[in-house]
Amino acid sequence: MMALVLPTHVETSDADVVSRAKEGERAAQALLYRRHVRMVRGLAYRLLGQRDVEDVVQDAFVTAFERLGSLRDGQAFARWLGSIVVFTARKAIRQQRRSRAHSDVHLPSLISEDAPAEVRAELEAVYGILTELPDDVRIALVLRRVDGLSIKEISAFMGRSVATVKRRISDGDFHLKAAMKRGQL
Amino acid sequence: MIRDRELDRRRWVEPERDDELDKATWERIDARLTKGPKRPWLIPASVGVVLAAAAALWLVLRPSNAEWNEGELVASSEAAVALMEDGSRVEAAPHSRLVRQANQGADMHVQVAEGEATFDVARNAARDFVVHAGEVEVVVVGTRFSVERGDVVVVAVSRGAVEIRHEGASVVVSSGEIWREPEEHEEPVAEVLDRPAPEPAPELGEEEPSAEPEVSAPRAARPDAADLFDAAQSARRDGRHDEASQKYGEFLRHFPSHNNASLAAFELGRLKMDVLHDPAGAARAFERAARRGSPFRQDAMARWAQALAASGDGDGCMRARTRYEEAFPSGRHLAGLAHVCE
Repeated sequence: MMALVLPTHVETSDADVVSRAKEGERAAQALLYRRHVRMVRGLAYRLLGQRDVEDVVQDAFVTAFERLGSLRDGQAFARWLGSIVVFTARKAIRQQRRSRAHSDVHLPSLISEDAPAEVRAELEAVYGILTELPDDVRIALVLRRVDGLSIKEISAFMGRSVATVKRRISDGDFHLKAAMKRGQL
Repeated sequence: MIRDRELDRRRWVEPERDDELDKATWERIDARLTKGPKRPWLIPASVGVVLAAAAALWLVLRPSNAEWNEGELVASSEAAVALMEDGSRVEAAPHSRLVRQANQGADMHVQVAEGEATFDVARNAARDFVVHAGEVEVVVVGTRFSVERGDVVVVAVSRGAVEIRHEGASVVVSSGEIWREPEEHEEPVAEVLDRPAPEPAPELGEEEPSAEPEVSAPRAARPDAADLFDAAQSARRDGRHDEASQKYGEFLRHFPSHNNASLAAFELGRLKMDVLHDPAGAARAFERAARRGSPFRQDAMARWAQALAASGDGDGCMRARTRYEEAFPSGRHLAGLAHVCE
């Protein structure tokens, strides 16, 4: 008779892991980190460029684990964590602006050289104007035009109303078109 | 998460995968979590130690005196205070930027370019002192008020009166009143949000905090309402979010019927929702701020529904949205709430 081989790894839902992490189980926190660190680092990278990404990743996870008790639906952990990343990145953008540090960030260089020409042109257009935009417009534009999130998701990530998010994206698109018309890009 | 495939360009703007970096990052996070923000055994043993620590903290956190630099006053991680030549005092909250415009005759013009600022303007009938925030102008003679430039502009007057000009209309806002810029789809004439005492019977919420007793406990046992509220407001403006949250909560427990209770509840909700990532706590605060008679009722009801949605309470969100729709059939947040509970 063949022995029954059980899978060594059973995927547990975020809800289950979150409930364990809420009890302070560090292994559960580590598992949540492993599951979501790519999303967090990627999101911070697209919003900020290279600068400050590591700080934002650390701060976002520390904040999330310290405030995990306030999350009622553990299955919504990824979205909730995303909103913390956006909030933390907004603070970093604001600090970069204060210290004029954004002037040494060349955002178009973030785009992969493997990107198809038309995609690259679109992304260069977006990243070419980001540092000139108000913080919320910048964030909304990246979440929409690069991350491809729905308006409702962006609203949840940014903690802004759907109507406000639509206005921010519309403002971003306006700047984008204006810059392209001026031939800056 | 819902993504638009045609707009999803993430794969072309991704950091290189680096497992070693991810591992090192976790070690730093783990160390920070182990260190922990709260260590109760370190609570000072005597009141004297607490007072000494508070005094030291005040010395560190008090707003620093600053100068206008090429017409700009920039506050980074702490508030910055600058004096004008006429004796007026300007305090920029952390992460705020003010721009001083060229004087027009004797008049003074300051723009709140980002963030929030408090102005204590010297009385001088011979000149206008004008604060600009987006499309809003605040004209003052002699008063103290703050201007917050967020999604909309909010002006709170704590002494004297100001005239606010916006989209061709003007309105006078007096001490103790708050004015909020109407959003795009609202009527252009601004409303003045004064702060009436809330009606005794709550329309929302399961619990009504007991009213302040006419014969209260010895006064020494209770903090002063104005001091406590000001402490909460200062902590919020200075970015001390946990402290502000604690002070607002304390204020609401001690003074549930105070004229500033609705404002305290609304600010507490905003802190918990936007900064402290506590949507369930935010929902409770917004519910409190949404009671009948609250000047923030409409905004608070809308944010109550959003907070419930964010906390994962879909049924509660639907109930809150229905309450909003019934209370404000033409409300400015109807569109924003249309799909909030899904």
